[in-house]
Amino acid sequence: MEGQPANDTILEFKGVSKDFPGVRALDKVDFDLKRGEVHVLVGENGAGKSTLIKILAGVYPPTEGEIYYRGEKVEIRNPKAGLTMGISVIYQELNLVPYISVAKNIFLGREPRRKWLPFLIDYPRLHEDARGILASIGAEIDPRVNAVELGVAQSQLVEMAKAFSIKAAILVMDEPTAALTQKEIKQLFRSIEEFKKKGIGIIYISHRLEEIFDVADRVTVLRDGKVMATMPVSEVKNLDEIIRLMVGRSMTAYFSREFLTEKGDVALEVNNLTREGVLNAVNLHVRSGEIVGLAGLVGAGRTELARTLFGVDRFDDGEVKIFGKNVTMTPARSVALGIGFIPEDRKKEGLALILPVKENVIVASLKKLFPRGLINPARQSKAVNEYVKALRIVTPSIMRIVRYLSGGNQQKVVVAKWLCTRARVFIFDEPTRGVDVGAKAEIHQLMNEMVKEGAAILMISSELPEVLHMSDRIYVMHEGRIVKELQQDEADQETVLRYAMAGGAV
Amino acid sequence: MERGEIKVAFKKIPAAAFALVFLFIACSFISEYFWTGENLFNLGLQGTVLAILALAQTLCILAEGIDLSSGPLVSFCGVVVGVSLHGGLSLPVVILISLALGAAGGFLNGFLIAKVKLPPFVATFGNMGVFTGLALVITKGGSIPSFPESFRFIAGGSLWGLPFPVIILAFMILFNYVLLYHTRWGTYLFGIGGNQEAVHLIGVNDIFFKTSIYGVAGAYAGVAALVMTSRLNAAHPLVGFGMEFEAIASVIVGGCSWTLANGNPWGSLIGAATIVVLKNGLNVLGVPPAVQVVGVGAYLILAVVYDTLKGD
Repeated sequence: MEGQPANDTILEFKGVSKDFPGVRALDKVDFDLKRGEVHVLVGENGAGKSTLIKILAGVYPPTEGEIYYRGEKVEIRNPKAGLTMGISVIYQELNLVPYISVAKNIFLGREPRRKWLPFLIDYPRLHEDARGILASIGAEIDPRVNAVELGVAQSQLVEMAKAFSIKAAILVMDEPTAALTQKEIKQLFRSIEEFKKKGIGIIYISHRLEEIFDVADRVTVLRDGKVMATMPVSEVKNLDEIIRLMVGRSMTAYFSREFLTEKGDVALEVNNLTREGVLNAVNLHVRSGEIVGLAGLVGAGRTELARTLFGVDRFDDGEVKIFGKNVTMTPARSVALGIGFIPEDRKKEGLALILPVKENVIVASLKKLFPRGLINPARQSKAVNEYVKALRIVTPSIMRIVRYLSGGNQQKVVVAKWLCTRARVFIFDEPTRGVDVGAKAEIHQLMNEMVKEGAAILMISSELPEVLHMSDRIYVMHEGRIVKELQQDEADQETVLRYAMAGGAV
Repeated sequence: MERGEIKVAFKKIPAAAFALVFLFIACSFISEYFWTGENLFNLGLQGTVLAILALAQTLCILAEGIDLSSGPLVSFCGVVVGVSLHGGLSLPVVILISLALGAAGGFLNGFLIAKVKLPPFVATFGNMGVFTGLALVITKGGSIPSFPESFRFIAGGSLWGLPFPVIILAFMILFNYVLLYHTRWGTYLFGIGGNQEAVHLIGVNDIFFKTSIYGVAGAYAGVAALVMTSRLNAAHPLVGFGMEFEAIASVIVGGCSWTLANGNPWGSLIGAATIVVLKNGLNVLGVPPAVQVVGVGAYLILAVVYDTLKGD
């Protein structure tokens, strides 16, 4: 594998595609990386960045296409193979062992041992080597402290030191700055410079577009699994250009909503809601008869906000009002007050997968329907059948185990559960994630009907066209704050994305 | 030190350390007999077996597992030791048999956990029955009494003015320390408990190392079986009954966490010491052994409640 590469290109993807059941995550992608450059990958959630990285790391095999590494065609069968070849990936969830020292983490699997007693670790050399490597990437970390004592930024530097010590030729960094402060980011960029000087190629994924100008040599924009453009950063005129490349897909497949001219009273009101490090003085309100979209990037705090509103997580400051009444939320009280929560991960949090439709629909309403604790089976079935019919849930019977229903029908079961409790305020977290196009339109239609009946809906969605099509108003979140409120007619993809990515600082 | 630092340092001290100080003071008030040479000798003797098993248990718990079969494994090894001695095998061979049998039992646990991927609780729970059953089958339910003088030296002899079991314990502590903190094996043990994925990704055979952790813990049980059998001068198939309970309790009160390999053997040793002294104190007060078990259980719960409360 060693040997002088013919040119500066260390990695080349030629026509690489990856199919998952029902989705083409990558579509004939051409991509290359040169020695000593930082190549930034940008794209919306689901554009294919992670898939590309995982193919490079050996987590998935590509469906088609070829990968060339140092001029040779290669197959990267598993992560270990990738690592041995010199491809080091730093995932967002860092891979350090918490209760051993930084030095041991850097040399895990390659610990230096004593000359005369080779079964013993040579601590002086271990620490000296670790110190040397940390210094060479400009990290001021004591190699003897346990990894658990380090913050995110320092952990990242230790991961970089690890990559450095195995003489990686390619370093992949997945959103390294997501949890860092400005000062830490500067330090990280200095370390990246050191890597570049040593001829290591870096693939850098980021959601913070403004970073491109600080760190990138070249930028590749992905959209819907395709490469929209690859260009040197010097040719990027401004961020709007990048954003335009990232968005702008066809939106005809979406259900068109009927917007009500007369809205009802304020059903849900949030004032100054704060949770240390997660939510920062969030203000919003939702009226009966409207769908309010909550846009933002993964990690902006949207799901955390939803969980806090439903009373799953606590908050430090602020207030939540339901129909004008100030309340302290717990999930039990939320149900009693008529709030329904359709969570992001319906299989884990929304459904009991191994139970039938009947139990899943009725579970949150048992107390309301049968206050004495004895279930009347006839009344139970009648109630469930009513909702199955109203929501057009496709199932042979209400005894069908929900695991065997399609994603769209599963989602409807979750909605039915809350309708059955006579909920009036609904929090939808990614309502159409993982459902096919037809079911998506049906769920949108259902939401449309619900608001016509007077429901208030707060909808979190990472899919911009969904937010734009379905919402009366849109709040954009960025790093735990609501940075912008947009009316239906003033929202477009670029505006929303600009606020979501940069908090309006562009 | 700043006030905050003192608070943090204070929080790192396991409940068991406070309990030990308290127990020493309490016991000196309860009985003049407590500090006599004879009683301390007894404490050392009783403590050795538990301390060795607590060290073994620490290895398993650091690796995010548990070993419920360690008590029965002591019984099983002890019974085989008894049969071997009566069969006329020499002492070094008998010692090797005990260690090898313990290691084999441990490897079986490790294989089921690391390779077959059974939950540690289930694998070792099952073997708890297997080892007890085997011990009962070998002795047909009875016990094997009276062994040669040379074997009885293990628990009854003394060297350099110290009871020999205490010297065995000292050796085990040293061995365990070197193993955990000065070898790759120890590093991988913390790695497997803390982030097995990281160990796997770096190209280390994590399945093998995980298996071997239980093997080593089993060999420790083999050592404990030798001391126990020698001390009683008899091998009984139910002698290890409940020992795993006290060993696990020692580790828990010693502050070892169930996850991420957050802990050390020192806390477990202190934990074992508290349990031995607690039982000794209760003994002196004339509390029957059955009620002593209640005492140990209550102490365990109190210690965990303390740890939970101070965590906030």
